[in-house]
Amino acid sequence: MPNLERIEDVMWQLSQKQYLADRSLATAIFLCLKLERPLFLEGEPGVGKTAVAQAMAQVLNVPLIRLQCYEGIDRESALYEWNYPKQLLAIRLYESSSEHSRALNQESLYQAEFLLKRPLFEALMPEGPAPVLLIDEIDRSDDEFEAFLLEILSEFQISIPELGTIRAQEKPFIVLTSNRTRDVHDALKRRCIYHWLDYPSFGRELEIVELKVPGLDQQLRRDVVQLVQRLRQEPLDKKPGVAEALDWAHALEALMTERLSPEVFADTLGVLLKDREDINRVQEGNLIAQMIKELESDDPTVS
Amino acid sequence: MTLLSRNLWVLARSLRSWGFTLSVADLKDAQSALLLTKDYSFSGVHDVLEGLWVRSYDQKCIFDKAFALWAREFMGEPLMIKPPSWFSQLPKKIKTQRRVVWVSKEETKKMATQAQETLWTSTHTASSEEVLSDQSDTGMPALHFWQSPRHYRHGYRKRPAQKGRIWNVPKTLRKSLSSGELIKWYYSARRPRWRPTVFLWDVSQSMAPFIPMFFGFFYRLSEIGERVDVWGFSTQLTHLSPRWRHPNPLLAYQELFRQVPDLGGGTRLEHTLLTFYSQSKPRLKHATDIILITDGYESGDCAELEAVLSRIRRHCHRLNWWNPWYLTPQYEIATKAGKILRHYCSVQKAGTIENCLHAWSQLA
Repeated sequence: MPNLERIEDVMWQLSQKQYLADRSLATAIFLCLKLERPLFLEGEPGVGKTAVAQAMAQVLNVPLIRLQCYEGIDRESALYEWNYPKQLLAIRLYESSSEHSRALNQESLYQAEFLLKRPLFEALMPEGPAPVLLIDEIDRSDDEFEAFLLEILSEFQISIPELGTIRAQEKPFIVLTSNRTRDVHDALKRRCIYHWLDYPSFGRELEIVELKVPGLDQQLRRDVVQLVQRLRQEPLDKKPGVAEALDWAHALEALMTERLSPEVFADTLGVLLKDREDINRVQEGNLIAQMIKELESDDPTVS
Repeated sequence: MTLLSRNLWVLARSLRSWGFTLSVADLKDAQSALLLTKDYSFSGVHDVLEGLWVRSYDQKCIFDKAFALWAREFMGEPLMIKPPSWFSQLPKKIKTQRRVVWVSKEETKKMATQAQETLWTSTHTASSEEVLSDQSDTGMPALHFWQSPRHYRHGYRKRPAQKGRIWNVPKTLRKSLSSGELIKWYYSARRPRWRPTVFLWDVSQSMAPFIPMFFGFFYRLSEIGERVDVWGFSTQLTHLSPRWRHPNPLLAYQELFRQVPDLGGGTRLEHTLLTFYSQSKPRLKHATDIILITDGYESGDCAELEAVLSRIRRHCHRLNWWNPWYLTPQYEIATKAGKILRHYCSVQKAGTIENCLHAWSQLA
């Protein structure tokens, strides 16, 4: 367990794992660790919510268990399930064996050996150290599943009718993420530390691109971040996130681009924008040339 | 009570009046968290309180504003030196006044714009005469009991099964254990799920005669538990569903006139749809049905109406247009907005409660 006694320690450890967190996020993580509460991250797609859990797993040096939520997810696919084929097989074996089936009763069928462990169960009863549990896109799940999570998030325990209550020996670090497609119930959020992850500032995004794409030319890196920040000010349907900025930087690196031109920008626009109307809006409005011109006017190397 | 906890308490009480659900436990949590972080700078306190007290993006906007005002009182002073000057100036508690608001009226107005229920799309509102003229109309129909078909959709099927049925393995196993032999397979009942439906209801002057009828229809739908979300629009968009929690329909109907400031005003369909789409896009699910109730009149130039309708249609399951005048003799869709709506929506007649029920049953 690394030394995480101060907020600065959290920031430093995360930066060591290539995640640059601002102080408010580091404070939220620090409080989660100290108060032993889950972290609820909300924000636009592509701002690095899932990456927080991945980075924390690396910081704590524990495995990451991920539960991807979807509409219709239920406790059987999230927590545990009885292995019915195995149970039926056990019944058949008992019947065919010389021993009489009196030895077979309901208790013997509902043992741990017939249990199929799903991500939540594995997070509470791990074989090694307590993992980082990522419950991704909780807003996609149903209200019933949210209610089911309440016991786990507050008590770190689960109740299996046949086996009783199982409590985590060591509390896992839980991260819940949401894209805010719907409001998650207050009862669930009350049990968590909430943090809204916004788009980063220019300086922070530049540091992120520098860290993740070190091979890119310094001036080109600045241009990439500046253009992405500029695009976010446009009334687009889907604004480019940090993930798209990194993808674009990688794309420009792969194309061995040395300087941004309107042609290169137009050709690689699909990496940044994923909506036809958005692309049309940028292309038709002469926005590309205008933004490149703004870049050049800001560039001191261009006379 | 320490000075810090007293200040936090006042901030929490103020936030409560803006819809924050903060209990004593939250205050204790905040204090213990501050002891852990040992960072009593404004940003440090802000980060801690935000993490513990804020539970949504809308709350974050209000919290940031309120915290800035709260912190302004301490500007240049350490947070724990003395009680804030404004604390003693709080008005004495009046029995009839339940809200504790310590921000100024100007700030109150600014923060109120961020409340969830109403989205102000423009500064234009109906005149008081228009509102009064509509208030004089008390033609609220009696809400007869009627059985409407449920708006279900098929549940998510976990396992494939032959003949379209799902095995209930636990029940089969349980029964077989009690009977001693595997004889009979049991099947799960199909789990019905409500299909979310969003109504965009035109409450402008031209649709004023239909307001009581549609209100009765929506009220009844809400009463029987249908998952409907109703937005009224004329010159601005107003979220109406929360108003109907009143158990008395007549009082709820009166409340409607109080809450919708532009009821019976002009029609800004394009502006409304643009605002609805930009605000609700993350919340729109592909299973949602969107019903647009309007006569197709638009006071604007419809420059972006086609584009926004195309987008909304791609984000929902069905986009229907309920037109009260549709299929009536000597009526034809002649307006530009109406023609665009007919192209993107499936048009249904909804001039009477029977028409509405028929259209609803087609959705179910």
